[in-house]
Amino acid sequence: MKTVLSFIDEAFRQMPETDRAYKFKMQLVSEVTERANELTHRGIKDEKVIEDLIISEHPDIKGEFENVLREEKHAKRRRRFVALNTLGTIAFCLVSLIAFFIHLFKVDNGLSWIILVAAATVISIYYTFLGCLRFIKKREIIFHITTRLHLAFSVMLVFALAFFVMLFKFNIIHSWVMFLAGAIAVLACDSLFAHFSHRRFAVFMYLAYIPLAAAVLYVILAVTGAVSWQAGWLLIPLALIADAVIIAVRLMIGKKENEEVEEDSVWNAD
Amino acid sequence: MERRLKAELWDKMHYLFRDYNDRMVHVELHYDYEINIDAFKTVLACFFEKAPVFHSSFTDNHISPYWVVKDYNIDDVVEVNDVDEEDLDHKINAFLCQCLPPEGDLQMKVLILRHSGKTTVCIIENHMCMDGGDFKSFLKTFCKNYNDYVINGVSPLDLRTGSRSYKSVYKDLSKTDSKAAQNLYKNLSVKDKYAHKFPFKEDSDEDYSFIARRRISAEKFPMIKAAGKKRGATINDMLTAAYFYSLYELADFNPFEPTTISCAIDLRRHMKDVSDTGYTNQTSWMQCRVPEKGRDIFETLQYVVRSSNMFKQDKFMGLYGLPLLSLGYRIMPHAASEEIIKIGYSNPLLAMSNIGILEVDKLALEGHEPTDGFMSGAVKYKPFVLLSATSMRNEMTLSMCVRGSDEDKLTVSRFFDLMEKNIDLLIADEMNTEKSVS
Repeated sequence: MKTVLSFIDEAFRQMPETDRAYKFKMQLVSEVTERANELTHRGIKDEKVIEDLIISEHPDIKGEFENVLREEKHAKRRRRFVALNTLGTIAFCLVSLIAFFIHLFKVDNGLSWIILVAAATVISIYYTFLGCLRFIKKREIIFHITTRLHLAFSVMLVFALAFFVMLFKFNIIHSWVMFLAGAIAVLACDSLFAHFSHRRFAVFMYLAYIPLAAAVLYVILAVTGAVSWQAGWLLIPLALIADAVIIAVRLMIGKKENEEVEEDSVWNAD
Repeated sequence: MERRLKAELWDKMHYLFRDYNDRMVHVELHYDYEINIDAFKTVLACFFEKAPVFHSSFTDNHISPYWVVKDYNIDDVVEVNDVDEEDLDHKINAFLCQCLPPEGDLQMKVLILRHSGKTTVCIIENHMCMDGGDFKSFLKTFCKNYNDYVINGVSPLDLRTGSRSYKSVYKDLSKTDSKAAQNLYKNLSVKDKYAHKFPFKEDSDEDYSFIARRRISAEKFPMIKAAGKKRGATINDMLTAAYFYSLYELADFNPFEPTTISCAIDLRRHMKDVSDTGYTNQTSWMQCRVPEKGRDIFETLQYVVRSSNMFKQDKFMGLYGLPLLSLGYRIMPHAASEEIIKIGYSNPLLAMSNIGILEVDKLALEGHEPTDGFMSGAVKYKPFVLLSATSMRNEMTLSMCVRGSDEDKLTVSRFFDLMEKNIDLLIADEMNTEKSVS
């Protein structure tokens, strides 16, 4: 083990002498000793081979140490972030509760509960945003499905809140169309998620969502009287035209890529 | 804490193949001297340390399978026996025909037989860890490290390590090619409506695993090459043509019906440099199809050449279906994806793998080149067959690993007779020229 220990000493000579570095060095010495025992147990009798093998497993001790420090820093930051979020959420819940009770006892117009719904909506949106940021990088589809469902739920919460405000505060007759508008927003957010997470088949989603959103929009506009039932249906063929344009553009891009593939035939030779 | 390794796409695929074969790759090498056993064990132990998949156990987790690295002792991997010459074949066959379960702690085993001052090395490894192409590379690296260690005292650590992912196949393609290749969702499983099979008997309780081999003499190798060159065919095409023709004769297929043989292709052809990748599987299939038997073997050869040229012209040869498999494994839990993939994937009934040349100079130990040897694929379960071909010192070895009865063994032997006869027909001109010259 002499060679390995001198190798470790040599590596640490180039590093600043700190308590953390010393602790890491001791940990490393213990690890390599354990590893040497393991290799002997596995049947390697030649000590030189064992030493060379161990050294080959630690080509950059300085880098290893830097990684450990980085990981520790990262873990610390993560712990702080979790603590901050938990405390922030609790504080926000408390403030919302206080606001709810103040409103309940001071105003008492029967709408105090909207404050609680609004608070739940804000928390849901915040955590969905965090989830999206985290899961968007993961390739496993299960993370994407979870985030998309959460995203849809949050969007619907926002529109439900808008519905309550419109109905109970302003007494608007067609407030319920907010649920339909919410459906359109869900499709839009899902498309945006697909775009930013570089989903391979996102284009098929756009093709399905556009006519669907157009049909819902037609109902909203017609119900609210913004367009007549007779003329509004044109939105649907317009959506289909938009689909056709997307298909044409995608085909053109595909054709261009194929042409590039044909030209770039470095590996065509056998 | 247990150390886990990711189960790559091909690991999972070869695990799925458990219904079709025993997943073992076999190699046998003969040396005319007694090798240094301690050195052999040391080199192999170092390789096991460098590539821990060889001492890992496969865990068939229903959501996502993985390898768990296990402890081992090199004496459990390498078995050394002193045997008499008459027992040699029996010992070799008994060892080569065993199957290492993927759930076991070791994925590679070695038998060293010492007999009359000579040594025979037999190795079996789980196909889930690496394919024939990488196994050949592994053996060459092993011999180089062994020699450096024994002769120069250099520690045997020169084994390439790195990613085992199927995606390495795209790494040297241009950006546009790589993007295009990763969108090849076409399923290229064999769709042969006639489903021609090798004429084995029905499964029986007496079935056992055996490796049938046939040597094609070294004199014929250059003749096959020359005859092929004349007709624009490669050695692989010549063998495939003989395979087709022999099958039509042996199984009495309707001569006017088409037949398909799947030929293994090494996907490393798409990679410029494999030095930064780990040992893994990078093999796909090319479907070689003849529309009919042909009036004679030369017409069959024409069909084979036409079919294989069509594949060779495709720059994405062998890359079809990989994204689809990957998608299948990614979007569903493993248990479900296996079932779905089984529906879409049809294992080739007739297959061939030309493993190629076993270079004696690169397999030499302490200056002693192997005097004989061969490598073969997994033992296939009926009705599936795989014909493996390797050559050493121009001597070609055809082998077929089968789980069958004595009758099946005879059928395979008859098939090899026909192969030899048909190869002779293909090289008849060259043989005649040779005779007239001598």
